[in-house]
Amino acid sequence: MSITVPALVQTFDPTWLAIPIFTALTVAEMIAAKMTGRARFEPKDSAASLLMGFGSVVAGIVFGALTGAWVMMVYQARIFDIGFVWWAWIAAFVLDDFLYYWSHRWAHTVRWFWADHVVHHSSQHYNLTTALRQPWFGVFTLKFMWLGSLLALVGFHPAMIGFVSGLNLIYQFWIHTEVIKKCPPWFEAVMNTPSHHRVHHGINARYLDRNYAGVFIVWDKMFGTFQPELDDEDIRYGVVKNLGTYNPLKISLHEWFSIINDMRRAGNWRDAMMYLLAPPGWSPDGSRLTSKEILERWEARQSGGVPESQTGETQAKPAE
Amino acid sequence: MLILLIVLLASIVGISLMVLLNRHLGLNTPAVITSLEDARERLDVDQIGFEAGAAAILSDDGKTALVEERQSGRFGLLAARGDTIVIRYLEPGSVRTARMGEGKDIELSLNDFTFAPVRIAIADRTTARQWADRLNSLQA
Repeated sequence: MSITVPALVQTFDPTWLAIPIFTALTVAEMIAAKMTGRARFEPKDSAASLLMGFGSVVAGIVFGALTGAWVMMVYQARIFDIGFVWWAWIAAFVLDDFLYYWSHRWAHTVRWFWADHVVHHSSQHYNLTTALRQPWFGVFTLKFMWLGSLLALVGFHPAMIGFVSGLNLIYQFWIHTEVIKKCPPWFEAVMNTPSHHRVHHGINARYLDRNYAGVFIVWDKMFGTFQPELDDEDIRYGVVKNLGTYNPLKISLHEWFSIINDMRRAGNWRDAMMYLLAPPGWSPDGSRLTSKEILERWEARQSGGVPESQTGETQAKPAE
Repeated sequence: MLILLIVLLASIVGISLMVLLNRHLGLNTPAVITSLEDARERLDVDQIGFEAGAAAILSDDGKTALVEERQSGRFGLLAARGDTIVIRYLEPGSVRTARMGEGKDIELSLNDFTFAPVRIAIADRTTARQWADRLNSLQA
């Protein structure tokens, strides 16, 4: 069956249109930071984040043809002909966000996917430039081949998927700020907000691997990964082993290199595959710590237990 | 294609302007390690259960600190980068070089490409030399 693509999605790319809005909001946040002190900026860090955002746009252009062609191919084998009926837009938006939740969750719990996503978490700052700190080599995770194609297989048109995922991305921009403390309770209950997402970027033990939501925080509540922001502890942002560089290429590639080095030094095939597929921080001798192990140590300390001797190195923040 | 190039060029200009504004507004306060106690507390928060040993030093400018871990013998290295502190744990193989620079400073490079070399300012040359030797003992 032939499906006519509406002119809206043929000519209108929401993410490109959002760039001037992103710029204006970032400038506004800087001014708010100056006036209220409620946000932190570091010029070199901001420059790195903005260049990462720029690079990700270029990467999207370079690799877009490949991923687009793949999704179109999958769409040819679609199960349903959903087309562009009105309810399909809503369904696509919600289902895309649902898939985002799982994709994001695996991006924190499978090191292969974390190698790409760590880029977004690699700043110790949390401001609107952090939202733009995006990876360049996401195509290497190959997630587009399965998770990114699922909606097309069901029968949603790739142009519609691109459009709603663009809206999802735009929504997630404004939540990367410390300027907004809390939104109205009904909004906090349903939607992802700056407060919820600050938790997600935190490396405090209680905040690791929490709040994976893109737009709707309800997914975290449904699947047991929700953690509200607490008043009794300042949030530390970044990754467990923070970067001491602002070089965008190093930011982009450091975890990939780290995985390759670990796999090369692994004593056997099983360990090599675990370095690739196990949660970040896994090591065969337990000399590094995963998010779960960090939380266990923190809880042991809180309950008065004596933490085990620290002989290892905590590695990447196992948890965007 | 032309539009794309214009957008990309405009983005570079926009990025430069935002960074300049950021700098102009002076939004960052350079990070400082105020004392060895501050360094120990930061290490304990960073690595739950880090037990500091006796050997420790804070650089004269408060930009760097080294704290030995009691049981393992490795060193927690804290280095100010802009308005944040970056931490590394130094074990055998971690250090590439620890050279005495001009005056009494140690220039420390790690075998870690995500950690740019750091200068450790120590007032006393003999102390600086001892720490450089200690760090060099952690080369591969």
